[in-house]
Amino acid sequence: MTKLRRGFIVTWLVLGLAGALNHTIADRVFGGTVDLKLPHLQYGYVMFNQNPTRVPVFTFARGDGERRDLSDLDPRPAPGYARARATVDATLAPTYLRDLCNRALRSADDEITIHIDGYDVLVDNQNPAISSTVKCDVKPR
Amino acid sequence: MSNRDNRLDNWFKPFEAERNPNAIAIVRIAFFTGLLLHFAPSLLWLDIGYGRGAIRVDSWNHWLFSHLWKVPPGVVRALSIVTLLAIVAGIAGLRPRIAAIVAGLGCYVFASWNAIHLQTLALVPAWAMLLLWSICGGGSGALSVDARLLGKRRDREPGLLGSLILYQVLLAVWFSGVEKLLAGWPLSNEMGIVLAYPKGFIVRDWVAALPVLHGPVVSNAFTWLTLIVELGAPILLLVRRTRMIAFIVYELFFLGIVAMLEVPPLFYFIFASAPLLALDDDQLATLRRAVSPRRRARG
Repeated sequence: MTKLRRGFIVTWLVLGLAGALNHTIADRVFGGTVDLKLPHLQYGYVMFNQNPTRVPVFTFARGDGERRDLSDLDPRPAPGYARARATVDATLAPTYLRDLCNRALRSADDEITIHIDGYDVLVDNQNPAISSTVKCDVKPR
Repeated sequence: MSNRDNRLDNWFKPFEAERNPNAIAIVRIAFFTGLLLHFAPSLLWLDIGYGRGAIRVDSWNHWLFSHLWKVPPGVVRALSIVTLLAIVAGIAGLRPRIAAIVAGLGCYVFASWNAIHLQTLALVPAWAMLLLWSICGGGSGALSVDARLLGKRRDREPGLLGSLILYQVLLAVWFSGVEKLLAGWPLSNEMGIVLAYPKGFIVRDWVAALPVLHGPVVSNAFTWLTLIVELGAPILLLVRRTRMIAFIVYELFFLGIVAMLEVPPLFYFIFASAPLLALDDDQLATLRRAVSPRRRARG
């Protein structure tokens, strides 16, 4: 039993270290990573080690034109990080925005415009460098 | 017993010695609560992420992603209920090994099925902890249904689970520092970029609104502080003489992260609770006196 337990400990420690090195050193030295199969060894530990300098801020407006956080459109709560959640989701799948928009329409004459403001934070973090919109309604075209 | 056996015993002692059950119990409650806060929204509003025609993203197991869309909605609902109940059992400390196996399988299946609304790097240590809990069991010797109602209260618990969780979390923190070091953080002001983010992107509103945080002196200090804590605290937590100060700095660092940045509660609950496992009995008692005014007065 002791040998089995110690074998497991050593295997776990070595695999953990291998997984960590896989996403730090291996990529730089060997130009790629190895698939270590286990889910906790699949990714590195830092989301942004080089932080993006061009970032989107998502808001939406209904007919009254008032801008609100995009996360208000998603009925699923994300306690303490709702806007970051919506931003990550929109980045993971661009079609998520249209899906969210369509689901949030309340009536046949409702319309929602999602605003995507792109900031270049090294140049100006107060005013967007670029803006675009996604509009959805149920009116026939 | 030979010298070699003695050396081996010493080397494995942190993993084989028994430990106070309260620290691992607090980690258990924090971890499973984080898991519940993270997964419950997707599993309760099930149709949005798992209904027919839902927008999906493949981030974990490709086979599950490719095949599970065929599962009937009633089965999906049953799976979600079982997963949530298992997470609650984990919080309550009711058969935590079984809870971890069921919750781990359920959460992994749902995250593989659709990563939208779930994807975060905090899932990396979460998978490791669920796997460890499934293999090692334990963690219900105190503050649990097992201890209070099923007569499984223990004064000491096997140390294996706690020590491996501590290793896994400190490894993640230390290698976060290594990744930043290799990405050139000492020669750049990466925190200056983060602190300059506009309202609505990752930073909390008070950070975006406070100009003093955006200057090069403060942001450079945050860049270096991040490197120093991530590279230093995991090592200093392992040395008894420096452990308490490293613990305080580490906790303040993660409190700072969650106060300044919009990060999932799962991230904070995992990383803030795990260092409790580094503290020995005396240090846990000191901490208990410090956070409990009644005990402080009595002491």
